[in-house]
Amino acid sequence: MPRTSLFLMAGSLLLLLPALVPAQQGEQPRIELLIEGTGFQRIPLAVPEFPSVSPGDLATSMAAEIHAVIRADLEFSGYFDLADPSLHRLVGAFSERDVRFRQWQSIGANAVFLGKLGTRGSELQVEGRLYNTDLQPDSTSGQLIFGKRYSGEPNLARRIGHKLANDVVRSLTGAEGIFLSKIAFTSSLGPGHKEIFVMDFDGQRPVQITHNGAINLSPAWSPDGSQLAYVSFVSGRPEIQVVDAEGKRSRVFAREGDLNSAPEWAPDGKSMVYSVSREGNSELVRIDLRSNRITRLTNHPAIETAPAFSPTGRELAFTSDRAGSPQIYVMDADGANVRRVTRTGTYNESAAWSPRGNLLAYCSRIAGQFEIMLMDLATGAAHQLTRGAGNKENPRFSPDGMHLTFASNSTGIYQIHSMDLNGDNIRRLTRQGHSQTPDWSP
Amino acid sequence: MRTVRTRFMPLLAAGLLLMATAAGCRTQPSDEELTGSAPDAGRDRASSSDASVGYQPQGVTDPFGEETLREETLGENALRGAHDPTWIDGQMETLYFEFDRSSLSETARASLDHNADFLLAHPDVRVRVEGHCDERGTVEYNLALGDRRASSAREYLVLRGVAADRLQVVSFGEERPDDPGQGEAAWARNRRVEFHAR
Repeated sequence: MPRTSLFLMAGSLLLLLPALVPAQQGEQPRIELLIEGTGFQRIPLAVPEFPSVSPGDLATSMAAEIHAVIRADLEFSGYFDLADPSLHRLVGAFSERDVRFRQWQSIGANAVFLGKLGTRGSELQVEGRLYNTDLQPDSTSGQLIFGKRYSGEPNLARRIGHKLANDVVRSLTGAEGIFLSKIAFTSSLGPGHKEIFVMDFDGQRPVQITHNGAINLSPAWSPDGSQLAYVSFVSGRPEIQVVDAEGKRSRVFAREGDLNSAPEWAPDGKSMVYSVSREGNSELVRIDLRSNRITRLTNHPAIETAPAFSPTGRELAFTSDRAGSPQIYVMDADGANVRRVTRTGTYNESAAWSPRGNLLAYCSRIAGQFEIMLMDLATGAAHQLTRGAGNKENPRFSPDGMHLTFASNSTGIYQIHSMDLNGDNIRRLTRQGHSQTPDWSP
Repeated sequence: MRTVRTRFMPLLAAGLLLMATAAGCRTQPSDEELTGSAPDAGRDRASSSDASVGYQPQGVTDPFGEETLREETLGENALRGAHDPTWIDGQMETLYFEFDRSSLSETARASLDHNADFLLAHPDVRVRVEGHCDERGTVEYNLALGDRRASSAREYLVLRGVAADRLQVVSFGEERPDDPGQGEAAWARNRRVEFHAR
């Protein structure tokens, strides 16, 4: 059997396993097993530095930057064990003509990614080749898994790096890479002034999207990533507005009752659910985006807010304090069949539904501060992901369901962070002050 | 044709009144005494669109345009600045709440009684009832909780007889703390409903 297919088979297994809950004899599954399944193994991969073809300071530094982007992305993904760079010199001088597969294998890499940067006129040309280091039985050469060339102006350097990293992930695991995804959030620009920003998933290049000088909060990406809904106080009272992802045009979307908040798009993009409050009672309503017809989903004097669709669009998780304190509930998308899902903790809020369908992330008040929790919907078992000082709030899944973004004030003020689904590798993404309510793009 | 007297007196009276207001002292009798009728708060507000004043177009009969002079009645409230928003805000008491609660404590009800008395005594005053939370809890939940706090205050005032359309509920959630600090004392100051003129 060709070795590439073996790789792809292993990759597809990786894709499937996180969706299964392994049956353990009378024991709660450990969280790593819950997320990754039994038999998960990271792929050993080497990503050595690029040589640059056209010498010059700009080309060398671009090559280093693109290489750094690819390494950081692949490290972030959690799929790979990247070979330590200090081992690269053991391979000796390599090139696409002499990859030195046996040497890469000897330092433990099952695959190696060789990149090269050149310039043509004002454009960058970046070539990337991914090789399987397993030797063919009758030759000394390995196998090319893919080769690509990207060309573009130098300002696209990081984008090129992200695209190549996505190519590596797709070819080795079968899953789509998330390295071009974005995170929207709100950030304070002064007292009583918060605007919506969008940054790369790794915290780079934050861009201000709204510019109305008011308090703007709770951005929510549309399923096609072209628009953001958010809550704005620009008219003096909280209403929902929608803006395109570049921030060119915004419009008022919902301005009813006393309070409109917590917008959430349906996965098919055809409706939106949000919380409306009248006479002190908040309820979840659904608006059909074509007919503008509004359907009331909840009917209870308690607080109802923070809706989160399941990936199929057939169910909604939400926060309600109908039991006396905020808890997470799930109901059918038409409002029927309301049932409580959080059984531990006195104060649970801000549910997010994994794109893989089986997990809910939410935050829970434990010993006076908020922690991020992960619940297996099949069993109801809840795992605490975060620890240590500070409040961690508003968890949202990455589009591949393997990571979470959240806001935490563990550094003193609220900043946007990301982490792996098992709570490892917490990274702070925002540098500017007081950022909250993140949402990860599709 | 108007006499010198009728031309002059409104000017003189207006001038004296202006001086009195500017000096901050009551050298002129109040509107009450001038007109001999009890002040009616609903009419006292200075109006620039008094329909009883005729506006004469300029023509041969009014070569100096003196008939364009407008006369306005200044009421007691205008003299006392009762429609100064800062003054109104200062007359209203802020309410405070327990963590994650929107129920009114006895102290809160006493403050609301005070606010109701003021609002009933000044029927033309309209207020924004603002609900706030401390920073614990998510942004979304606190918007809803602030709304509930402001609404329960509004409900009480309506029961006391204040017209509902004078009370506009706005929740700011955790977005506008009174005290940006950490800890119980600061949080307690932030769990509040405030009343502001609008």
